[in-house]
Amino acid sequence: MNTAATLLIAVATRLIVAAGSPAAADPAALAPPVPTAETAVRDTDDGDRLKIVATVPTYGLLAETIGGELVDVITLTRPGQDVHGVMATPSLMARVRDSDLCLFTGLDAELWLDPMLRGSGNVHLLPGNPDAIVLSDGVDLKQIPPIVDRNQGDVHAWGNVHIWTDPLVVRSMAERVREELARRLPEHADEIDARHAAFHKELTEALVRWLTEYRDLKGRLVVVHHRSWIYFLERFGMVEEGNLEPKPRVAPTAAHLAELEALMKARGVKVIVREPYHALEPAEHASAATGAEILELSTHPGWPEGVDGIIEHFDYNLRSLAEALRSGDG
Amino acid sequence: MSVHTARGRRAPAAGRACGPLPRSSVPRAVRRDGAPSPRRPLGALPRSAARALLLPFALTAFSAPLAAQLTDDELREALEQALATIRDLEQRVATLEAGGEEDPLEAQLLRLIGDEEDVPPQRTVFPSILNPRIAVYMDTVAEAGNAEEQLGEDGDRFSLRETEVDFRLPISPFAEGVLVTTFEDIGNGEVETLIEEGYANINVNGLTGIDTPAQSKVGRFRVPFGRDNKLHVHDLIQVDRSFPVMNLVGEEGLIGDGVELTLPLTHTEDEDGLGSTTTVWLAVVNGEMFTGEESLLGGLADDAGVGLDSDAPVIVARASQYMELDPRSDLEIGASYLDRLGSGAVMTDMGTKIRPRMYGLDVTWRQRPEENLVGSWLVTGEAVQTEFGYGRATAPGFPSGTDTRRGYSVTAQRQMTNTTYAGLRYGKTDVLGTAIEASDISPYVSWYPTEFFRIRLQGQHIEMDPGRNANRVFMQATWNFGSHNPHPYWTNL
Repeated sequence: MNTAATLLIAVATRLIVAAGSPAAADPAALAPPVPTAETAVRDTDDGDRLKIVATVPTYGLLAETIGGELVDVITLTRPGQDVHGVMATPSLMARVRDSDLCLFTGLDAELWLDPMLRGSGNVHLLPGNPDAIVLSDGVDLKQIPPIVDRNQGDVHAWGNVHIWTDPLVVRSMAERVREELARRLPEHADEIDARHAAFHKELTEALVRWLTEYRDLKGRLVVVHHRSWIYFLERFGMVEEGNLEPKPRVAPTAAHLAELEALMKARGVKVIVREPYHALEPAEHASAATGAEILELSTHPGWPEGVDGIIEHFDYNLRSLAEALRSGDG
Repeated sequence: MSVHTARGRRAPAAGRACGPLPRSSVPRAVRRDGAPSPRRPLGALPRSAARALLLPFALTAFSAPLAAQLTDDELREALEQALATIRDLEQRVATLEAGGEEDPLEAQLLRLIGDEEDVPPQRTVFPSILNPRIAVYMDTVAEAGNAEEQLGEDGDRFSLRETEVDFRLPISPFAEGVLVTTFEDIGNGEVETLIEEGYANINVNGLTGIDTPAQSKVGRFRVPFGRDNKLHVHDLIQVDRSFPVMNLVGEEGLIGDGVELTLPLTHTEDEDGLGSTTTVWLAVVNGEMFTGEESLLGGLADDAGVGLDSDAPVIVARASQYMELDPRSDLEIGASYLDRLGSGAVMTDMGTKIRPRMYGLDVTWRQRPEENLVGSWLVTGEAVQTEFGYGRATAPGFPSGTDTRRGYSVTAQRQMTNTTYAGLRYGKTDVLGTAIEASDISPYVSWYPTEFFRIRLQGQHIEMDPGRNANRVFMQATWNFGSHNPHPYWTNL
């Protein structure tokens, strides 16, 4: 008891002293420490790397690819994990505590990020601050709901948030990451630009190759479990014909599956795309009824094992889809 | 993991580093002031006007033999080819006009992407615009069984047990305001309104400039004693709180007016990147304690006209060690302590002055299945000991001297499908203010049709000394509307 009381008094005294100190008396000291263009510049000569927290593996890998050894990257979700279901554990909070920059989707994709950052005490990365980099800025969002209420399921208010599935969007995200890193590490801007240029070229070459090689996928019909793939599918001209979920995050019902299966048969849908974290049974049911192949695509680099890079990740998805969609072609 | 490195060539100047960007739906570069980046002009003409001029030439070039010989589809294909040629030419003109050299790769990509409609630049919109995020949680319970006749508790009825309205919003760059009000069914058609929590959550570094990750709550809040006590009713993994918490801490848990400090002490990571985090909570709240008949700030004492002006506040401390055991499982061990601050007495809900001391121990182990497939495990246990020192008996039946009581509970929960969880809880506890020892065993199944709607079925078998047994069944439906805050990490997987 006495120890606890002493600890409390010590903390209170520290607070009082701090409040009465010259620093605290300065109104500027009480203002939120928002970094300006000058203050955001970091000196990395002493090995002090820019600490970046990324909400999903794609963003983390972009930061690593463009920042190289200038950055330390923490990614908050595992490659096979549902980005909507992250829990703010004490360890995750501790990891983001000292981060300098946050790369996240924004919109309402990462609702857990705000309490995690508040819990960590790192309020400088809260959405709206200059070091909170919203990578959905400027993206032409798809599937914007006309009405936002739970009658639509667990709907995203501003549109579909799975923008990282489009390699062209990822290419633009890389440019944004380059811009943000170069602004904070101006003495390394050439190095950052060079890394970005190399990645940009590699991804652009891959895009040209994919768009040419997989041109025949245009117009092909695909059924997905959750609406996670619309940006990817439409980039390559494929059509999301239906969802196993009757509405976002609403578990498939027998009636909905029956209706969907009839549609799949009528339209000749050959592929069902799912993520590893969704129930397998609805896909199996639809597959058994229609003969469609079930595909688990890579939601982010790192899953499945061996599909580690951004290019490889898109390669894997396109190759898997093409094999499945072309399998019945004469 | 692939690493894309520079290949020794000189990087182009920023802004034109990689040739012109294709037209959006590709994200457009957005300037820091929020305005879209300027596009390259096509001479003095808008692009659409230029196309209008070019199109007749293209059609003329392709059309002479077409009308008589080609089918509609072939005509359409020829037209698409002509449009593609125009796009290519437009791109080349734009590139040349911008003073750059054409990047053939970029031009090739642009041809493959095709011409997409321009869209206005979008900026991220955050839902809270000076108004608080509001969440409403409603909890209905239907109960059936013989608890009423055996234990004298209300039962056998339907009840909108609790409606909770949660408001929260940043009130400064370093503080968030939180208000949680509840409307609780207290029977006979009456509803009790309560401010369950109302506090400012302050980032100490932002407020004071002290280099610390500490946070502080000021106001009314659930005090940091144990694990179950911190949860709101809608976050509980069973219909009701565990027996030791209900009987030793309070049916509603322990809530206090005061100040709390949360201080993350250490965080280490091993060579595999597995983290271990130590956190300490310290709170000082008014000294009003639950002692067995009424929970929360002493309703009974109020009813009896007895003041609640305690002579001493209480201090509540909790320390926890959170450990990631492997990438899919973690363990948290917490210890809690409550004592009076100073030598004064603490007032109870019965109007009794006591010298309280409480100890708590909680353990939580979670295991996620591989790749988030179905089959998570959650095992959690909590033990509580209370020591209430009574100077003199001020209410009939209350003892003098020190009254020490203990209780514990253990819960194991398994995820059965993506949306269903089944669990079993066992609890055993002394009952404050009585000589009774009670135990319960409660199996339950929770089903989440959506994240915002939950249905739960729970059975409960209760044994109380001397030889009074009861059985009851709960059917619970809980739903939320409005903004939805994430659950605490330990309440589900």
